[in-house]
Amino acid sequence: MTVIRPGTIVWFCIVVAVGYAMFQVKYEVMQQEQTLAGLNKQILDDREQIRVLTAEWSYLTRPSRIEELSARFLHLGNLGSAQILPLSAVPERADAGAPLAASPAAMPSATASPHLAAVTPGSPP
Amino acid sequence: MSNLPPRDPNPCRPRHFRPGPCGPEPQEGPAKQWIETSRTRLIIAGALMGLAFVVISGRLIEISGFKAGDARLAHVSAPVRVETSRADIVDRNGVLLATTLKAPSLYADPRTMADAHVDMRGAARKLVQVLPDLNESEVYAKLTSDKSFVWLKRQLTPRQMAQVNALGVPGLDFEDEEKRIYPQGRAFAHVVGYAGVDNKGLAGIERSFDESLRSRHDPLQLSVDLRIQSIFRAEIAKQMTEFRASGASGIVMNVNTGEVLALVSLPDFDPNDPAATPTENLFDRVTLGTYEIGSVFKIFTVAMALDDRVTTLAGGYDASHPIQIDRFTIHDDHAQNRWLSVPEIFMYSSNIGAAKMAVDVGADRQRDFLGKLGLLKAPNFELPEIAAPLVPSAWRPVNVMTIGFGHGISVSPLQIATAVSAVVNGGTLHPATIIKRPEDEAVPGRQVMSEATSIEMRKLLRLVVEKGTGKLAEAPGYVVGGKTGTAEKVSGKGYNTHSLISSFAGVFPANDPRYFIMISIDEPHGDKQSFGYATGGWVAAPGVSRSVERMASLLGIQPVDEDSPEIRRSLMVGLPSPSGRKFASN
Repeated sequence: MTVIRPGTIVWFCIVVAVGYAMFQVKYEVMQQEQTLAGLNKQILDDREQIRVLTAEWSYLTRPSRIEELSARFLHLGNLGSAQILPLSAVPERADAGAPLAASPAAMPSATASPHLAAVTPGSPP
Repeated sequence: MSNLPPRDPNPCRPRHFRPGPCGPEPQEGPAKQWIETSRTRLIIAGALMGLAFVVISGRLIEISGFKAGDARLAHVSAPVRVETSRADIVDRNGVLLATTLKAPSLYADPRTMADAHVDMRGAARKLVQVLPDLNESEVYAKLTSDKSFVWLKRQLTPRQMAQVNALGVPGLDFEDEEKRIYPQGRAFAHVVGYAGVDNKGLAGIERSFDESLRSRHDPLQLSVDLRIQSIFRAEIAKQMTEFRASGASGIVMNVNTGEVLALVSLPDFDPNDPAATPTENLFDRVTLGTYEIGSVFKIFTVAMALDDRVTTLAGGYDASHPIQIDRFTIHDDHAQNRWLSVPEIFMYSSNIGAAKMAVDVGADRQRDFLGKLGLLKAPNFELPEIAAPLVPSAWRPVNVMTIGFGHGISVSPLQIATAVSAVVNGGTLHPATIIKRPEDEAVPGRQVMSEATSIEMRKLLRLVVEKGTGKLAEAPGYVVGGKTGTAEKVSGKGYNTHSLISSFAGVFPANDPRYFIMISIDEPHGDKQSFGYATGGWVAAPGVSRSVERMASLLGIQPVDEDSPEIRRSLMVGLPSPSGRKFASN
């Protein structure tokens, strides 16, 4: 009976382990590559979809259509220069400086109207 | 090996067994030498193998340890980008003007369908229900042909593709093709142009940037603004319809950069289907059309006279009698029949005054000045549809006079825009462009007149709108300045008094010009609203007024009070009153 030396056993185990590990890694890499290819394909599809949607959005928001829809549903006119004022032209509040929430007395109607009272900042919910 | 038993101690050994070479070493003779050689060879082979392993290990460590991020090793991850054969075109705000989408084309394999016993008549009927522009009998004929490939319909929309798939007819399949889409339709027909089925640019930017669009990936950004363009197009179309004109054009330009913000040429076409339009609609009036633009040219005559110090704002000319030269008579359309100051000549658009002013400047200086403004040769512009101006070959005295008021020279609206921008922006001529200029780059340009002249011209342009022929161009709050022009179209050897080109070329705000705007209406017919007039002041100016009012806030221009002292002072022009007429010196 031939005696197998311990060193040989150790080397044999290492070879088996390394071989196993190598194939394991190889298969894992293959799997990962497949996942990666799948993800890339999906990203590509999504990007293609985004391109289509961007084109459609651009088509649906074209000014001529918005103008037509606005005329049909909103009944708004063109903005005239008289409607644009610098901020300095807006008159200041008479009670400028008094914070809204801190002084309910500054808004006497706040308590009179239930709707307003409900939204007055600082009032308990 | 040394502990092996001595040679052949076993008498029971089989005869045929020969001891291996690793038996006890012969002490001397050729056998010993043979063993020695073998050993040496073994060592060399072992060393070589060892070296190979070291090299492989080293490479392994290098790859896994130091080159982890090397892109060459990651070749499996393909570049994730939608590959299209043409890049997108966007406006200055990034809104899509042209894009390329995958368009599946539907084909059938009639042999496979026959093998699968498909009901051809039913399949044809179902296909026509989904794709109504197909002809059922034609589809049936194609499906029953003995072929293995017939196109049924090219370039389907994604929705149509889904519907065809939902039919579940075997033997139908798709092939990916590309289709150029222009989501804005007609709005930018003449700017963007169009590309043919083979993805070759045939007009506009698509043609001039054909190579670039094929090779680049990021979108090409133009200087135009979709919002401004659509407002401008709508207002011009309104004027064109109202005055039953045969065509119209318009351009909006940033006077400080030469960037074109809007370019309209009517009638236009749908770039998604250019074949459906008559070819004359493909003509771009702004860049390819050259016109004798009429009195708008007086802007250059007066600027030239002021810049050459031939006259001043206080000077003037006798415009009481028409000028006779060669076989022509030069007279005024808005005749005052008296001596007119330079501002009056400009605001009443006196041909006599402008002609005399041009004569005072002289032929050489006139030609030189117009050349500096880029009016004598074809402009350098990105669109391929560019016309060279029609300039007289010999610059005779009569040419000097007629060019003084805009006849006898044909230029494109694009050239007018570039030149007037230089006149009002402080005297710097910026080359026109339709590609967005990078904000951090200096705008190319060269000084063509003094800043003082430019400031005087702003005042004169404002005067025309405030008191002269261009009153209808006024847009409250935006201080429009400009010049009207009405020219009879050349027909044969003379002029046709009934077919006009009526224009208004203006700038706003006149006290600190930022944008040039021009509308030209081709062959307008006066109506009740214009009291039968078809001149620039009646036909083109109202369109400018409405356009400015609608686009100014989008351009970030804050309305001002024209009567405020600062603005009055900055645009003040002295008007003498020689014949006792009352003119407030404002």
